[in-house]
Amino acid sequence: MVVGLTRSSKYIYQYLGASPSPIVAADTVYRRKVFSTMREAEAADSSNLSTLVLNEESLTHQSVTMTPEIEKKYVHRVYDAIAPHFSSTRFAKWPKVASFLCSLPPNSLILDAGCGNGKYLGLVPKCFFIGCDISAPLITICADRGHEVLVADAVNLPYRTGFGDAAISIAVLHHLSTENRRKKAIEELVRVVKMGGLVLITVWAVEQEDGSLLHKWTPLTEKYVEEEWVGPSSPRVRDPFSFKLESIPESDENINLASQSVKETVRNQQEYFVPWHLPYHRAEVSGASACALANGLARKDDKKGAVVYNRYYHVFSEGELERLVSGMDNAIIVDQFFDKSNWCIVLKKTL
Amino acid sequence: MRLLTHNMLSCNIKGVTNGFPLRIEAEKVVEKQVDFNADFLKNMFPKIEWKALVAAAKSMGYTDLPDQAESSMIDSEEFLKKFHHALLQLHLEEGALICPETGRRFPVNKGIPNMLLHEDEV
Repeated sequence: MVVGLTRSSKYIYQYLGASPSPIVAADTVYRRKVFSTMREAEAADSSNLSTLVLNEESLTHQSVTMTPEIEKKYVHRVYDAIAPHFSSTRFAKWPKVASFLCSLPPNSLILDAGCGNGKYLGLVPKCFFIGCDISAPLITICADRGHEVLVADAVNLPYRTGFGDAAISIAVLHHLSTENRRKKAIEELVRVVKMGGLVLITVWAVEQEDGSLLHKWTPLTEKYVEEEWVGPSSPRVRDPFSFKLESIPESDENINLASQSVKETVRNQQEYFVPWHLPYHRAEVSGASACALANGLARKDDKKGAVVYNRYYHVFSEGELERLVSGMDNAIIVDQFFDKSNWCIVLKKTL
Repeated sequence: MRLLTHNMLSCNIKGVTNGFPLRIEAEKVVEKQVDFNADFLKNMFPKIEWKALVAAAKSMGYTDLPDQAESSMIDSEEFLKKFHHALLQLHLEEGALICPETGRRFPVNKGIPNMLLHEDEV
C-alpha cells in the first residue's frame, strides 16, 4: 500500500519484512514520476514489499538540527512510550564504559549526552555528572533517582563551549538518520568539553556477534535522491536496487530480479528497524500505546502479549566512526575498539 | 536544577549570539544537602562565570556570595562553603530560564529544565 507522498520527498524506504508491516501515513504528495513507479512495484508483490514513504523536506535546505520524521516516529515517540520498561532492562554497566569513566581524573565534570535512564550517571562517586536526553519520560526516571539532568537534543547541546571535563555518548548516534546529524552530534560532544578533554562514543555495529539478532531486525533500504545521506567521497556505493526500482516496468520478471538484488544489498545494510516488545501490562500504564496502535506506529503481538514498536537504527560499519571524525580539526582519536557488537572511539579535544 | 548546571546552560536558538546567562524565574527553590568536597569545588571554580552565579543565587534567595571572586579565595574554607552551597545545594524545582536575547522561556519542572527548541527556532 502506497501512502501519500511529498512534493519534495527525498527518501523512499523499502520496508522488507517477512510479516506485514505497519504502514505509516505520510500526508503529502510525491513527485509524479516516482509515484507511478511505486504503483507498478506495489502492484507486483505487496506481500513482500511495502513502501514506507516519509515526508522529508529537502535536506539541503533543512537545518542539520531539525529532527527528521523517521527519528520523531521511530526514535523519540518510541522511547517516550517504552521508557519505564526500557529503563527496567537497562541496568548492567558495560565494563568498557565503566573503565573509561573510572580512568578520568577525580572531581571531573562529566557530561552524558543521550543518558537514557541515567545508567552511568553517578558511576564515579567523586565526579559530577550532568545528563541530558531528548526523552522527557526517561529524564524523569533519572531525576527520580536524584541525578542532575535536563531535556535536550544531542545534536544541539544547550551548553557553553568547553565547560565539561569529559563527555560520553553511549548507544546514541546510531539513532541519528543522516551522516550530517551524526557528524554534528560528534562535533557537539567535542565542543562542550575543555581543551584536552576526552569523549567516549559507542554505537551499534553492523557486525553483530549474535547473528540471530539480525533476523529479528527489519532492514530498510533507501533510495538516494540527494547526496545528503552519504557524501560524494564516502566509500559506500549507491544502492543499485534503488536505481532499478525507479526504472522497473510492469513485467513480473523484472520484479523478481529486483528481489534478488535486494538480498545482495542486505549485506551492505546499515538502516534497520529493531523491534521493542512492550508487554501489554506495561503498555496499558501509559496511554501512548493506544495512540501508537491507532496511528500504525506499533502493532499487537498477541502470541507474545506485547505491543511491538520499531526503533530506527543506523548501525555503524568498521571505520565509519573514524571516517566521521577524520575531518575534525579540533580532535584526535586516542583509542578505538570493537566490543560486544559495538564500535567505540575515544577522542581528545586538541583545540 | 543546580546552579552548576545553570552556569553551563546557554540558549541555542538559531541566530542567538548572546544566550548566556539565562535569567532565572524561581517559583520553587529547595535546598538539598550535598557532601562538601573542596577539591571538586577548586576544579569547578575556573569554569564558573562568577557574575552569572551571583545573580542566579540571588534569584534563588541566596545573597551570601561575594560579588567578585579571585582564585586566591578558594583557599578560604569560609568562601568554599558559600560556593558549595550556591553551586550544589540550591535547587530550582519549579520556574523558568529566560533567554537574555530573545526572552524565550525554558520551563523547569520537578527540577528538570526542558531546553528543547521548537522547529522554527532550530
